[in-house]
Amino acid sequence: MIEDIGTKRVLILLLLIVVNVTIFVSLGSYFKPEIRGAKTRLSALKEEASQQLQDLEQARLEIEQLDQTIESFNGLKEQGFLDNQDRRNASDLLQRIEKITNMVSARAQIQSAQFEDDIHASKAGHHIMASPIKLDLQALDDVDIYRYLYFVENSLPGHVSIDKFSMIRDGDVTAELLRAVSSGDDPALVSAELTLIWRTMIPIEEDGSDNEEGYTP
Amino acid sequence: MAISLFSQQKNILMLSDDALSIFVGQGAGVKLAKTIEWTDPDFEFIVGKTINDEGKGKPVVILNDMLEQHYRKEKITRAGVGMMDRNSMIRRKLMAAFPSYPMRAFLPLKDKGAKTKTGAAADTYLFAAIPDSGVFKQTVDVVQKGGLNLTGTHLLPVEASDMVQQLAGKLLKKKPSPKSWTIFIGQHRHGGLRQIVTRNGDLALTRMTPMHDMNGDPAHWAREVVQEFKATMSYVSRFGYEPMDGLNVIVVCDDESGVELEQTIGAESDFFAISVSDASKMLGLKIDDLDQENYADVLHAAWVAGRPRAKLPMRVQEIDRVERPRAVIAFLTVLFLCSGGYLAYQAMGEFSELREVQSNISKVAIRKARLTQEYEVELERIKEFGVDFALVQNSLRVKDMLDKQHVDSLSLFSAIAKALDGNMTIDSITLEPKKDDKLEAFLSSVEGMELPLIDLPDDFRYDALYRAMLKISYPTTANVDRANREIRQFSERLQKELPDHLIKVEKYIKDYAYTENVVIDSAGGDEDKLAQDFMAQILIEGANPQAQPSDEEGVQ
Repeated sequence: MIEDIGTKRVLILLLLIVVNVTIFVSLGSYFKPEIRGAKTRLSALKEEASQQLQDLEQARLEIEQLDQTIESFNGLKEQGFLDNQDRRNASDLLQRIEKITNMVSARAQIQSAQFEDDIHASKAGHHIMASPIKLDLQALDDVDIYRYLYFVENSLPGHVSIDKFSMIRDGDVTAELLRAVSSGDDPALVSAELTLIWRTMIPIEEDGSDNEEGYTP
Repeated sequence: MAISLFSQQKNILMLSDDALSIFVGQGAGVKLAKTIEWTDPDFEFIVGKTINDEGKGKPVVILNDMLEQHYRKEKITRAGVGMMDRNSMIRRKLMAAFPSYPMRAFLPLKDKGAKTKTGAAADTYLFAAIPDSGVFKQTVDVVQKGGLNLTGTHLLPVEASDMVQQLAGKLLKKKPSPKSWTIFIGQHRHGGLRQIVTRNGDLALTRMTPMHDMNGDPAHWAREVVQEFKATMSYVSRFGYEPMDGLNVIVVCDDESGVELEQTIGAESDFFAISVSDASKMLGLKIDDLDQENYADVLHAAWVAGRPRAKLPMRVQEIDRVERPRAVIAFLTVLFLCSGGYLAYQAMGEFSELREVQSNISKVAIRKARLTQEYEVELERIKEFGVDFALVQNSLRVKDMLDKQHVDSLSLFSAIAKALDGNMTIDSITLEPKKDDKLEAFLSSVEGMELPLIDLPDDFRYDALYRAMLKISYPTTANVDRANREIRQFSERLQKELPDHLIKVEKYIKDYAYTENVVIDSAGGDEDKLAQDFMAQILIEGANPQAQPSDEEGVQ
């Protein structure tokens, strides 16, 4: 049969079949997997480059923002916003404020600190330490109460905010009261009950003070 | 003759009754390579060698010039036969006409039978058949054993009819009239005198008669030709020839024989005696190594070799048996050639794509390396600050949030002090932050999420809302209307000092609509009751006063 058909024809056909099979196999077993792998590598590399670009832009933004915010941040640090709450110092400070503001009496109680979670504090690896401060104040004049409050808000390290404020006029200015003042007594005309929240931001690793005891100066 | 792109060179095996003439394709023409008698003991060897050596194994065509060829004209009506069935019907008629001849074929002729009153329109076909002779088998065997490609078997008179028509046109210098008859006469080297009669390009009659050697006496040769010509004319007359139709006589011979013949032919005709060289030039054929100008067989071989397709290919079983597998092989070859081309194109595309992707990988890698380098430089700059950027940014945000939530009590007290009349005193002030309804609504909308994970919208206002209550007492002897007027005026002044706040007198003095507990004590509680009656209450709700002076002077 092959002789009838012609050996040359059969050989050419076989050669063509071999060529076809070779190309087909190389397409399936080499080119396609190779392209797929290369595309995967390219995709991963692009993602890495994109991430790198983002990091770079972020770093540049950070540098730009740091230029603008570093002074404010240093101010915060100096103010003690990022420090642990030193209750001994706070107690001394409250006593000094009491004297400065001429309180007839002042009872302060720094209660156990609570930890408040905050997304921004968490991003920085910190959380907010919040200590309620209960104040029972008695003064001759309500202005003294305001001054006391002003000094507390502006002297304690960190941030102090009012949670509750109640002030009552206990008596009127009478002749008896004036005589008592002149004799050196300190009669109280105004009393106030305050609850303040004292907050600072501390690193999460330093949260061993979770159950810190309250403190009354 | 120009080489055709569509017709490959062929070797022509011309079968005559006495011998086989081998014409080999050479360049753009043919040449007579060998003539071998059928009885030659080395027939097979010589034929095979000649075709392979001189003919370079090119495809072979058998051109039958033997005496025994059978023709018949058949008129087949068109009516009642569909186009699809026509060929099979004609084949059946062909088989019926020549039942004992294995090689048959039919050819539609130009002569059409018009529709008449008595009969339907008909087509005329030329039926042809040749016997399966011993010499034919002998030739086919040689071809097949030599592994040569036998492409077809043709009948010389049928294939030559077009040549005769074309040659007549060239000699007459005009297209022959469709009615005119043309007789082509040529002597073959080992055959006899071949006369081919055509009308309107179709074969009308052919005769092969033995002849003396034409290289002898031209006059004698002419007489013999005239004798055969007259016999042919008697046949032609029976086929309907009329002198008024016109007659062209073309004789292939040398000049001397031609002159002799022209004088003796004695018929009213356009007579042309032409040599093989002149005829081949006129037909655009190329004949190599032409040794005799008066043998017409080489002219026929050149004509058939130059035609891309045969006019009437004969079906031969021996050829079909080989041709079918060859056709399959050829089809597969073309198929694999095409698929190979397509796959190669695909491979080129894939290769190109791979190169492109690899090139992109290199580009991206370079870009990434550059970005990494730049990033490291920026990191160094950040390190120079000596701070943690996240701590800087987030601590400032936390502080900002706390500041916004901080109730600026001292500014509020300052505003209240400004609004107070010199005669009025406040008995008590209570102040507490008020829950932010907007914030509460937002938090309830994200119920189920851990609060630390919630990042409030950037445009969210953290304004510290608060609620303050002022209590003002009057002596029981005070004029109620006057006191209430003072309270109202005080609230109006407060509103002016705190424009964005809600200022509301919750209770005027002697106002029983108030919701606080009313103490009724029959055992001497009148003083409390009176004190309660002369107590006014003012509610303040709002956020931190905007741009209020926060100096202590204002409070004092």
